Amino acid sequence: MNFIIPSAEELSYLRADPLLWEQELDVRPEVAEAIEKAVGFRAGRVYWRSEHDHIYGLELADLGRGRPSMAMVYGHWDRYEPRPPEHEIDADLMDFILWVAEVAPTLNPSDVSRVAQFAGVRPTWPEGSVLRTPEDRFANLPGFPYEPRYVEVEGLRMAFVEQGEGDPILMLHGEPTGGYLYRHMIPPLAEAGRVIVPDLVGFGRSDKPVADHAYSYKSHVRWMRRFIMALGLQRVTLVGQDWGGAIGLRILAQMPERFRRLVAMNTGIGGGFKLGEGFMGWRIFSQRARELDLPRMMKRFETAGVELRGCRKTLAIYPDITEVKEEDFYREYLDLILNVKVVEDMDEAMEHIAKYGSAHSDAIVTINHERAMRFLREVDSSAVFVNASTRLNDGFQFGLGAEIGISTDKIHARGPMGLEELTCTKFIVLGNGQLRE
Amino acid sequence: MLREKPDWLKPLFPWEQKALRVNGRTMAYIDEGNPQGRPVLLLSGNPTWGFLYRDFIKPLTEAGFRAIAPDWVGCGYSDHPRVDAALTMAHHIADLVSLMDQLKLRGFVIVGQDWGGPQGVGAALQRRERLSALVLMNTWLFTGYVGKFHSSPRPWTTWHAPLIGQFFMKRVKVLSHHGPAAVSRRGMTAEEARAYHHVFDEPDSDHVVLTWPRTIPLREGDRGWADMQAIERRLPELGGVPTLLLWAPEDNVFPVEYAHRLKELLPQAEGPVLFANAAHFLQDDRGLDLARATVEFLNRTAGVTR
Repeated sequence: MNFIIPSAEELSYLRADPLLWEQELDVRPEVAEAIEKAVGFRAGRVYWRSEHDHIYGLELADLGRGRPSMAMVYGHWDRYEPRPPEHEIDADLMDFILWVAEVAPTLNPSDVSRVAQFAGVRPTWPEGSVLRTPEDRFANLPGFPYEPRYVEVEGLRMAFVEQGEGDPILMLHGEPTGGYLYRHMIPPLAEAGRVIVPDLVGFGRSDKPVADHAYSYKSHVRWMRRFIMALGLQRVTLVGQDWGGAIGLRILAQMPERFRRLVAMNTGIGGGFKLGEGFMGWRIFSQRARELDLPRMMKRFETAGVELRGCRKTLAIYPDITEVKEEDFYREYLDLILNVKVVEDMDEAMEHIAKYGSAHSDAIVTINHERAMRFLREVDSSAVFVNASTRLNDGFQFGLGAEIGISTDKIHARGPMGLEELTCTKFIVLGNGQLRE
Repeated sequence: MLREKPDWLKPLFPWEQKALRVNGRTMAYIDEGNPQGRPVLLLSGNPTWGFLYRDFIKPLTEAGFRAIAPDWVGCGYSDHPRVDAALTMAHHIADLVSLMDQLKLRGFVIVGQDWGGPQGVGAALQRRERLSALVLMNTWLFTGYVGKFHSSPRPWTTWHAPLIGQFFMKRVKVLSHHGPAAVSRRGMTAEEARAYHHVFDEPDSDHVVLTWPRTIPLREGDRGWADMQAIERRLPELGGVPTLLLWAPEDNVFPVEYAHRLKELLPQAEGPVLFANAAHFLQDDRGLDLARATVEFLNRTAGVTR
């Protein structure tokens, strides 16, 4: 549990939504006492930030009984906005429930999981939030002729292959591979036992949630733990490499009664010691490669003398600038002033352009070809740019002669008006980082 | 998902009750008229439900509008959670936003009376670009001005004081079982009075009649103060929205001074158009006349946004 202390100001922007309440926490005094011990008080409030990046609060009341007697769990969401998707809340509450089971000596997390399964707690994923690689992409994989089998965990399909009979030998892969990594080891080991090789969620034939935040060490551990329980594996020999080891070792610690032997290959588990330079370098690379470092970009704009105005989400990331007003989005500043808006996705960005833009020039910066093409197709401006500066939009730059007039709205025609000018609707500019010197 | 409507209610309220999940709870609503028509959200307050707007449905749908009358969570045919914390103003607003999102309403009109005012406007501010007009009736959107009714100890502030309120509101049911009928100017039939309070027959299902009075912001720090201030502060954002005030001056809860204060904050507002022989639940007393005034106003101002 990632316990935090939110500021009063942060909380004032949030709405406390009671999700679980219980009037008689002390019907199981040992649970009440374990919670008291874990949080350090018998009446008061503790907050944590979940895997889905939501804030939750647990409120305990003593009611004069000398131990926590009443508990309430709140979700804290954006004050006037609807709740996040229910499957996220379910998954977050499941984590909390497992935490309660972990701190309470008389409860067992794996029992809790089993009860949850029995009760049909199966977080559903909204349409489009999970991808599945088509089966034909796996046709004729060299050295991997095994028929895939499937099991559902938390509403996700996990794939595995199985060979041989006897006690299970569970082989877990890591980043960025798949069960395929073990193809050479399957035939000899299948003579020693029942080899089970799953694809982790996000890999191979297993389902692939789209959102980054769906993936965490914790969720991988949970998914794999549920996989083991769904197959009812006992007397397991665990073989783990890379993340497969880190995930498997954690499960081994949680339910040692199910395991007999361990084979660890080039793997480890966080133990407070320093990880090697190679790992740290790789980690930095993996995180920087795709993330947009907005504060760094904005700093550079500011240093260059650009006045910035930001939406509320921007202000949350980069607070010391003025808030952009609705009417600012319509304005043509004709000055070094930049409105910054953080959007959820490309649709919202294009809606913004359609609503507020002057249809003069609009640009997208992306390495995704599909998105670039979609932007060119759907944005209706006189010039549309991919990975190039909108400042290039003028007749001289386009090689049509000198620039003699200035337009701040939609006019695509440059130079003498002829057939071409009257029949084309936009200029398309493809670049790889060109600016106007 | 929804409980059955009793037979005696059907002649008075024949429309099909639909339901959506909002923030984990069931919200009931009726949705009548042309599905492509301009959506008109009819928002009631304490302790009523969509029934209050029964005289609005026919005139609106005949004029081509899509009439949507939701019951706030805690009211009518919606879920009645037994926890006060699930019935805050922020919750009600977020519930309505969720309904607007799920029904994909565009160019909607907010018609609000009592709590339907601040909660409807609060939700509209979250989806400002989809709001086309406002019709407000005997309601308020501000702190600072408090009328006699809300500030005097008898009966109002006593009715909902801590512990004391439990006795009057929940045991004696002064508001849920006797409120609308007691102040009716035209006199209600027994069925009509029953239509209002039968939704609270289930023991302990009437939390909302107590949480709402306690949300009325009288002074800083009161529950509801910050939310009402947030709405008041954002009212200038509604400057371009055609607004109409319809008022029952005989209402002792929101006398006409409230309408004047609303006009200061929403200077574009027309009215207040006054309706005599009507009290706090003016939609019940003068429903058809109010509906006609609403239709006339909406047709006249169509397309005037911004």
